[in-house]
Amino acid sequence: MPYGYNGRVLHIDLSTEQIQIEEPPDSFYRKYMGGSAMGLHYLLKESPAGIDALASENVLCLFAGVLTGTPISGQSRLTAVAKSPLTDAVGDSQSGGFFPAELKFAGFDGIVIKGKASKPVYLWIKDGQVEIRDASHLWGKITGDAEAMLKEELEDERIEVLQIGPAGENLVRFAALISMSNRANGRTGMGAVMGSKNLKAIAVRGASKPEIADRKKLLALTRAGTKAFPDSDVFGLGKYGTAEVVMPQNRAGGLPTYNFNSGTFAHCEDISGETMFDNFLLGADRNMQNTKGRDTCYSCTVRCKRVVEIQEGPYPVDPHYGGPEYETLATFGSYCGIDDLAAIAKANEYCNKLGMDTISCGATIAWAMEAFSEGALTLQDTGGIDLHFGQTENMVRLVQMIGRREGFGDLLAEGSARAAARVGRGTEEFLIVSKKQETPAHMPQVKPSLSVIYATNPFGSDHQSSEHDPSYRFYPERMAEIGLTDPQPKLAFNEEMMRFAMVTQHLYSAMDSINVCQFVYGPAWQLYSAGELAQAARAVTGWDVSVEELLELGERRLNMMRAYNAREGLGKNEDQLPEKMFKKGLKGGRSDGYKIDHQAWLKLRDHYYRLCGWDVDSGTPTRQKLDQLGIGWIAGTDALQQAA
Amino acid sequence: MQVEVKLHGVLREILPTAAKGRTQLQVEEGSTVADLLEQLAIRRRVLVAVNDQAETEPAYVLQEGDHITIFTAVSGGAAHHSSSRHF
Repeated sequence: MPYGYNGRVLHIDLSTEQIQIEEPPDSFYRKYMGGSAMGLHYLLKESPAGIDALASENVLCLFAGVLTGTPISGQSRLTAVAKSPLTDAVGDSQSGGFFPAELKFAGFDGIVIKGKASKPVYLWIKDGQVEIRDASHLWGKITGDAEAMLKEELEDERIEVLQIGPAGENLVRFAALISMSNRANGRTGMGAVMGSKNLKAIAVRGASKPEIADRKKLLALTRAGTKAFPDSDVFGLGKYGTAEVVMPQNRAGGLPTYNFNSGTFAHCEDISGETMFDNFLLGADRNMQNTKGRDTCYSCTVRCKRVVEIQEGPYPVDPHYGGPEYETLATFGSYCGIDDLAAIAKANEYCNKLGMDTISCGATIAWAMEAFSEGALTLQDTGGIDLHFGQTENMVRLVQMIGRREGFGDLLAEGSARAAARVGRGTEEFLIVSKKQETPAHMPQVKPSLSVIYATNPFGSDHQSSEHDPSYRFYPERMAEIGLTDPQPKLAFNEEMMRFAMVTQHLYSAMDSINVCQFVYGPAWQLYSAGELAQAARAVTGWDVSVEELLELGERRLNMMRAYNAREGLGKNEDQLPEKMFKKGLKGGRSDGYKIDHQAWLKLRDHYYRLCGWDVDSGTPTRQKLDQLGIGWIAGTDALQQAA
Repeated sequence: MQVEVKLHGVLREILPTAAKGRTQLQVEEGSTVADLLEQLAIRRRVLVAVNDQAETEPAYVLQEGDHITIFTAVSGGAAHHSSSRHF
């Protein structure tokens, strides 16, 4: 068994109630490291091609990483992988919290879940022992209530719970997995997959910590990070959360506003991190935000999570459900033309109670708002709900209706792309999606390399799959560490920026496999460099891990995803950007008139494929590339044979 | 001469809490953005934007009545970083 791991993967078939424990060889751990790549290994091997993502044949893989549960910051991460019911492509989503570390302590590196239970169940995993238990009494409960009931039932306040809320039970296509009632594996609908299996929750508890090869070295790195934190760029993230970026995004003309029709929101200050800190964080009334209003993941010095409490007014918010991230502030806020931070925090609370991705939920409502404002949706469609931009009360109301699939919410629970396909009447032109996944709150119009990443990313548009353009100019020393030594001018959209996008994508992809937080180890949000990440992996495993090996790991994971998509019939045709980004210039502010040059984009997308070693006509990895990455076995399955 | 300064994020802590990051500052004639950062003892990597600009170079010479906005470096929001500096 390698250092840093338990050496045990749990396999559960909910249809047969069969429980198996696999002990993979060291070579398996070295090749995939953990997280996403490890989950993809099982998804590719164990799920048949062409299935419905909500069918029992889908395989839900939950994996921690090699550093998970050690003392260093930014390591308690869990990746969920399955076929996505939102995109019909590979699904992939990360979250932090305490569940990932506790899963390791409970004796497993990951869980592979197949089949469908005949009635609602939950898994109880304690010190290497596993039970499938009845969850009928938990079904229908919101996350906070279900978690409290499990703690009481298992007579242990310190269990960690990963669960679905009513949205996952109702198969909302962007339902999330929730832990601590406020951390979400939000993207790509992993909660709907878990719901389709009648699996309500997984409770874990354990006392064993995997052995570390060089504890002294790891502790030295841990202390160095804690010492460097106050002067680091990530210090502000700790204090203001990701909400810190609202104001600079707006200043750059990159804050999505009115469903991506503008990058400038006149009321941005009202939804900013500073406003949340001053008025809404727990303890703000006593100037105690730093002690009361911040939360953390297991053993992390950054403490970037928000805790919002609102006691008065139309939108009271329970601090148990955390507080909004930047993405949530933007999607329920400026994206929808809403400037009421209390209402946004309430929408965030409902998403965490019901178990939904705030990005897809907010952006889907924004799509409906634009369609309504343009007359393509009517009061008859919405059941009498006025959905003009800025309709704050109705936005909050709709979040609940989506999670419970009530009225017009039932249509929006399908995600904006399926809703538009069903409604027709030209509503497709208002979509802001790639591979049917709603676009996060970072605008390719002001960060052009993101336009290709959003389109080509195997699990739909994602803002945490590559570094954003300005970092090439701003962090030359960090970029040089991964071979990027030719910073380009502002707004450059050229072949070197495609190389920047691909190389940083490989590093981000590695971070999602070794499974660490991008705010702590990312090239820009950096507390630790890529070299220090390699050092940490060396200290834990005893292997001679290098930055080059990490980049190859990231490339391997990306190619596994593309190969999976090829198997499912997705390729270049699905690598698209919303038409609006090519056709309509942004309105107002510093990005007035900005749009993406379609011809340049088409050429650079092909250039990106070539850089990746993929077939330019199909966007699919070549056999040579898969062999080079040590995953030629994928081509030996039906994955690429079908694509060919 | 006098300029108006708006500090964001943790830079707000340079000023008393009640100021919420806003202040009027006296600077010497001919002062640059870089001089202003020295005067405020800002040691972090920052983005500076004067008046309606998205970003302003450190060598820019301040004018009477300028509105100067200063952000800390943040990845997702760092859309215009070139004028920033790291001490």
